Amino acid sequence: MSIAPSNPLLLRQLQPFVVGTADNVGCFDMQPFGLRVEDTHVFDPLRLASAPFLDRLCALDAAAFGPEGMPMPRWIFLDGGELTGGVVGFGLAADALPAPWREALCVPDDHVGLVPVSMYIAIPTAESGAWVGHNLSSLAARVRDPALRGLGSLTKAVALRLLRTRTQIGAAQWDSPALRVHARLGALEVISAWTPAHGKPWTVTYRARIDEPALLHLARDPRGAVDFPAPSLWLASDDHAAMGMLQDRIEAGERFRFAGRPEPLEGGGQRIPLAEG
Amino acid sequence: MLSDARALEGLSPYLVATPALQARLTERPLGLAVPRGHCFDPTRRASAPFLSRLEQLDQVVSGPLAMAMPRWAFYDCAELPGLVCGFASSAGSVPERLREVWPLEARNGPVPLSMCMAVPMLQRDRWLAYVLCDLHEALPGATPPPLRIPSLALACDLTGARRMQGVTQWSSSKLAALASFAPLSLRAAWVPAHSVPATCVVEFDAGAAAIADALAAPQRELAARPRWLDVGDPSALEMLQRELEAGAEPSILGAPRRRGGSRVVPLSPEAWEPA
Repeated sequence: MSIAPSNPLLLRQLQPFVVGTADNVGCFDMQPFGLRVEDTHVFDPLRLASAPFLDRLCALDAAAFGPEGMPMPRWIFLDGGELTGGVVGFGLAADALPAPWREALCVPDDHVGLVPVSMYIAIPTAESGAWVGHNLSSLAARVRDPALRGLGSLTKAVALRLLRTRTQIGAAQWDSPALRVHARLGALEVISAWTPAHGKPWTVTYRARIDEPALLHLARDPRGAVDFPAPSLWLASDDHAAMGMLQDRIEAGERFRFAGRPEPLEGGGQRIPLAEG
Repeated sequence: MLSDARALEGLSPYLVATPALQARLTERPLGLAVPRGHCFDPTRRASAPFLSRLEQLDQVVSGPLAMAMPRWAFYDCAELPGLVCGFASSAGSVPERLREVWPLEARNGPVPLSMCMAVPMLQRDRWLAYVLCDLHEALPGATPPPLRIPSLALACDLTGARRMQGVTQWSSSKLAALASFAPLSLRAAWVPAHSVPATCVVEFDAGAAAIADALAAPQRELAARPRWLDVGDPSALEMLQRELEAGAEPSILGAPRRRGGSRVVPLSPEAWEPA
């Protein structure tokens, strides 16, 4: 099946890329939703020629998360994603970059070839088809441009398809706008609601079952659909005490799922609908 | 399986992994029981104090090299997809000097003295070990004997990996620990994708016989007359990388050693002809 995101500019303007070792790329679906990944847009992190493009991935990470975010040390890009799994995203030729995009991404004047504007980094697990998604970056987080609307969602959907994902595990802060993207996959199961193992304990660890309607919904394709249960409680994204209580209930054996997408609150933050069971 | 059990006297293995992964792992790695109190689920609150100690261990060893891992990366890149394992002492038996350098927040529970992170790769039965350290590295003489080789062996046996990949800097003492599993197939010799391009990526047999060999005789004699690679010479490393990309299949045959003023690594002789 093809994919038709509600913002048609994305696929008209941008081209998919993959970073992965030759062994890993051989396991991927290199025509996700019928999109073709050009051979020149496949980058092996163990090859010298990939270095300029990988530099640009670091720049994208820095631009997307900003100085207040969690920029990833360069070696963690390699050890934590490029070697074990893959990086999938969209880019645009350097000579076609609009000036504000070029500036936000700190693209050097002499850079030629593809410049990444979004990426999804995923690490495999021991369960076949189950991946941990650990970074979703989009230039749309930094540059307000209608041409980029929905880029993060589309990137994640295409990446999950390309990686042949059946289950996705992820971690995000309860107050992160990215949670609205992740929740487009449907009724995410909450694995942890308060996570001291993370640098930011107000992190939710979730698990999503992946199927085609959910991926299309994630990509904002009108043909996509997901089901949510009716909400039985709402969690405010700044209510750490409630997160701790939720965690206690999870550790006691109760289960919770997302019952919809987070709703932004006036004055900042968001509230998240949840359902028991 | 451990040839020198005295080296591990008073220490026990520990494991950090999700319950789903724990269920897939070897029950008695290296023939050792992992005490129930030494198994940690990273998604549970009770694991937090031990995970903080792992972070402290990493800070002590990797901090001076500017390669300490952020706490979120421990979680996202190791504890959720894979595992962290190693050997731990009880808090009460941690040597006094170690207490001075590394103040403990609590006086009970296990204290990790070594750490190996392993993450599954896409190919079945292949894993990547990408952090391997012990306190002996940072504080020689203050701690139990070197624990990196037993910790790597523990990871190999726990995971049941047939092939293990490793990443390290050519200048790192970690290479000697990896070399206990030699021959190491070299996958990359100069890696601009890494913060330190003078990094190598290797792959080795991680089966039971390889583990036993590594534990029994970590510093084996070289069977063949090797070519010596000066790992302090970036141009030699980059040239070797170009050979790899052209199809060469070199192996590291043993641990690095000093020759003259240089640190050299023995490579399989057919591997590399300097230009």
